Amino acid sequence: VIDSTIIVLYVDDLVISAIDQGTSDTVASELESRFDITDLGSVSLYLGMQVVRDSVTGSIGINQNHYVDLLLARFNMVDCNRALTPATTTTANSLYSTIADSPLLTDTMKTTYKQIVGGLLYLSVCTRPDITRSIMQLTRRMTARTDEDWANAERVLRFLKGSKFGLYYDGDADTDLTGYADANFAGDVGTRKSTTGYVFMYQGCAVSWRSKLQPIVTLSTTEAEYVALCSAAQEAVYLRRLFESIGELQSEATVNFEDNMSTMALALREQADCSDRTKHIDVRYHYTRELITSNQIRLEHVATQYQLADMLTKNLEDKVKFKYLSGLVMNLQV
Amino acid sequence: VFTAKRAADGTIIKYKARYVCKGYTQQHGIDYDEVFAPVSKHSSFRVVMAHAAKYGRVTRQMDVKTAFLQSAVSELIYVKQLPSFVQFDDAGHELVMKLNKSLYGLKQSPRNWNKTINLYLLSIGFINSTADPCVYTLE
Repeated sequence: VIDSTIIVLYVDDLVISAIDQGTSDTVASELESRFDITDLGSVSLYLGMQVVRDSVTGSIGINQNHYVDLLLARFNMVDCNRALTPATTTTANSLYSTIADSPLLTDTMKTTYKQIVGGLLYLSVCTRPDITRSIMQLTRRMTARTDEDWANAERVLRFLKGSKFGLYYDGDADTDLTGYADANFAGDVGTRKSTTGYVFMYQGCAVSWRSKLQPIVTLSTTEAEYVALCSAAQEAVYLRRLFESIGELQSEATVNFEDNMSTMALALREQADCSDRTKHIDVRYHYTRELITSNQIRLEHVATQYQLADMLTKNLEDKVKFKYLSGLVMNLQV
Repeated sequence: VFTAKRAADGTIIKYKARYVCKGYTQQHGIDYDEVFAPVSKHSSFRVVMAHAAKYGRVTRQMDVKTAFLQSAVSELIYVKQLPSFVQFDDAGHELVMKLNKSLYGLKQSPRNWNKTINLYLLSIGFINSTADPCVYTLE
C-alpha cells in the first residue's frame, strides 16, 4: 500500500519513513513507550552517511564527505595532488602483480594499506559507485602488496580529494527502477576471468551497484555479458520484492539495459540451443529466461557510450567519459 | 570498561563506566547456540530514501539507547560480580549474578536485541519485508 509506514532497522538505529508527520509521530511515540530511545528528528546522519533534504523539491542527497576528510587526514593525504579518475588503465588488473620487480612494502605499510582499503570499501558500498571498481581491484591484492599497490590506493585518495560528492535522489522525478548490466571480457590478465558490473537506477540516481570478478572463466564476450546479466537479474528480483513491500507495485517488467546484441538474443531465445559457442552455458540460460518469460525483467539495448555499468567493469582512461558516466550514475548537480 | 567522553576540543565532558562480560569465555552449546543477527542492507536504506524523495515522505531517525541492555536473554547465564563490589553468602562463598537482560560483550547480545525489537514491531502490526528482514512495513 502506498501510504504504509516503513522502518529500516540497523541494530539500534531505526529509520522511519511515513506518509505524514502525524503518522510518523504515532509510530515514534509507540516506540518511546516500549524502549529507552532517542528521537533524532528527520534523518541527517545514518551510519556515517550525511543525509540532506531539499525542503522545496523533497530531493534527498546522501554523502560521506566528512568521512572522506577523516580518511585523508588519517592517511596524511590532506595536501596531496588531486587526480581526476580513481585509477589508471595500467592499474594491476590481476591477483598477480603486473610489474614483476615492483618492490615489496614494509610491514607497517602493509598494515596501513589494509586500513586504507578498509576505509575506502565502506565508502564504495555506501555512497560511491564511482570508486567501486577501483576498490574491488584494491581488495583483491590484500596479500601481495607492493609499491604498485600502494600507489593505486593513494590514487583513489587523491581522486577523493577532488571529488567530494554523493548520491542525489531527485524529488521531482517520477521514475521506475531500471538496471544496467555489463562485463569486461577476460579483463583479469592473470586468470582471464571477466568482471561483472551492474547498477540499478531510481529517481535519477543509483540505488544498487556491484563490481565483481566472475567466478568462472567464460569463452566469449557474449557469455561474459550473459553471466553479468544473470547477476543483475538476481539483484532485480530482490529490488522488485523490496519495492513491492514498501508499496511501490512492480506491475511492469524491470528494464535491464544491455549493450551486447548477441547476449540479448541468447536470453530471448525460446529454448537452450546447441550452438558450439553457447552449448555449455547451463543454468544461467534458464534463470534469466524465466524472469523474462514471467515478465519480471525486460531487456533493452543501449549504445555502449550510454552503458552506465561500464564504469563498474573497467578503469576508464578517458576522464571526460568517466566524469560523464559518474555524473549520470550519481546524479551530480554540475 | 571505563571511558572518558570528550568534547570536540578535548575537554572531558563526563566519565562513563559500563559493566561488560567476557564473551570469549562462553562455550558454544552451553552458554549460547545461535549468535546470528540480521541487519538491513545498505541498498534497502537507499531505496527507502529515494522512495521518500519521490513521494515527499516524512523521514525520521531514532536511536535506541544501550539497546543490548534492553533485550531479554533466552539462556540461563550467570556472571561474576564486579571486582571490589563482591558480595558473599552466609557460608562465605562468593555469589554470582543471574542475567535478566543482555549485557555488552555477550556473544548472543546482538541476536537477543534483534529478537526483542523484531517481536515488538510485529506486535504493533509491522511485517517484515520478504526482500530484507530488517525492513518493516505497517499498512
